[in-house]
Amino acid sequence: MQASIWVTEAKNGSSAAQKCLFDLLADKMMLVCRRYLKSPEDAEEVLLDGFCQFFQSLNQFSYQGDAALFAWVKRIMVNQCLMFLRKRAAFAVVSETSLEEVEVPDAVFSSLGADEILLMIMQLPTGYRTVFNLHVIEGFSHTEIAGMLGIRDSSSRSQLAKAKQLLQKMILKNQPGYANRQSK
Amino acid sequence: MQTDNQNNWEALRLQLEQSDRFPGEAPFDKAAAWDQLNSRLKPQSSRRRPILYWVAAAVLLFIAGIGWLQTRPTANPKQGKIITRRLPAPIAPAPDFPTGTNHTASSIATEPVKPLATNNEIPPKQQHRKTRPTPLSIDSIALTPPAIAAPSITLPLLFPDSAAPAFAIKPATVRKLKTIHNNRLNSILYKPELSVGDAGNFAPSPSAYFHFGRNESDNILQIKLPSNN
Repeated sequence: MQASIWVTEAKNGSSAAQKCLFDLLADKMMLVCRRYLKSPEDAEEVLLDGFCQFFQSLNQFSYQGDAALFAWVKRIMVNQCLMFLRKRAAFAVVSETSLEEVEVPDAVFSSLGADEILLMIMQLPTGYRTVFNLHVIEGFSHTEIAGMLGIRDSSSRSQLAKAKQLLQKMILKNQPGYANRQSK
Repeated sequence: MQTDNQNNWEALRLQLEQSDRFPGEAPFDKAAAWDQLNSRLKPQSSRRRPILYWVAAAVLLFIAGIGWLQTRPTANPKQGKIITRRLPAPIAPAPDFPTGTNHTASSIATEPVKPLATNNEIPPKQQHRKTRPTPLSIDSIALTPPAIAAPSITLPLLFPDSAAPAFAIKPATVRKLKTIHNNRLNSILYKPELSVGDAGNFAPSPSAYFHFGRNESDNILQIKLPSNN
C-alpha cells in the first residue's frame, strides 16, 4: 500500500518518494544485475541506469500491486543488463553440437543453498549464463530470448542445454559426499 | 526423468528468488548510489527549463520586433508615398483652361503651392471647400502654361532629399529693353531751352528733367520727359 503512495508521489516528481522506492527495490534489483554481470561495478552502473529509466517512465506505469511493480522494474533491469552486454559484445554463441546429458539427483539440488547456486551460475560463460538466467529464472521462452539477444531459437536452446550441463557438472563437483558415495 | 529435472530447476529458481544479496560480497552502499542517482535525475528536470526560457525569450523578441517595425518613425513620412513625375514639355497656352476654378492663370502661377498630393496628409473636405472651391493639384500645375511673364517662381521643395521636384517652375524670362543710341539719347533727354536773352548760357532749364523709372509689368525703361519735348 505504501508503494502505491510512493509511486503516485514519485510521478509528481517527489524526490523523497523516489528515494523510498529506490530503498525498497535496490537490493533485489542489484541481485538481478549481479546474476547477469560478473563485475559489481558494472552491476551498480547498470542498476543506476535502470532506476533512471524507471523514474523517467514512471508516468506510463499504473500501480496494480507490489508484484506488478517488482516485475516491471525487474524487466527494466534485465533489459539494461542485456543492452550492457550487447555493447560489450559479450555473447558467445556455441556451436550446436550434441550434448552429453548429466543426471543430477534431486537430493543434490535440494541440498544446495541459494548462495552456492548463485556462485556456480556466476562461473558460467556469459552466453550460457545469460540464456540460463532468462529461461530458468526469468521464465522467458526461447523465442523471446532469441528476439532479445538477436540469435536463433535453436541457438538459445543449445546455449541453455550447455549451461545446464556445465552447472550439473559443477554441482556434482561441489558435492564431495555425493561424489564419495558414487565412487564407493 | 525430464519432469524431475524441471522440478529441480524450478526449486533452484525459488531458492534464487529468496536471496536478497549476493553471497560473499558486502551489501552495496545504497546511500551513495542514491546520491549518484539523484544527481542524475536533477539535471534532467532542470534541462527543460532553459529550453522554455529560450522559447519565451524568442517569442518576446519576435513581438518586440513586430511592434518596433510598426511604430518606427520614418525620416520623412510624406516622402514615401508620393509619386513624382516629370513635367511635360512647355506647351502653348491651353485653349480650354479649367473653367471650374476661380483662379486666374497668374494667381495660379504666383500662389505658393502646398503639398496637397501627399497621401499621408489629406486635408478634410469641408475645410478644403471653404478655402478653395477647386482643389489645386499637381497635374493642374503641370498643365498651366508658363507663357505668362512672371518672376521666377520656385515652388518650395517639399522633399529635399528626393529627386528633383517635378513641379518647380522656373520660366526663362528675358528682359528686353529698348535700345536707344547714345547720340539719340542725348538729343532726346537733354535738349536745353535757350532763352532769347540769355544767349550763350547753356545751363539747362530747371524745368527740364528726366526720370528713369521701371515699369514692373513689361520691363520697359520708361523715361519721363518734360511736356515741351
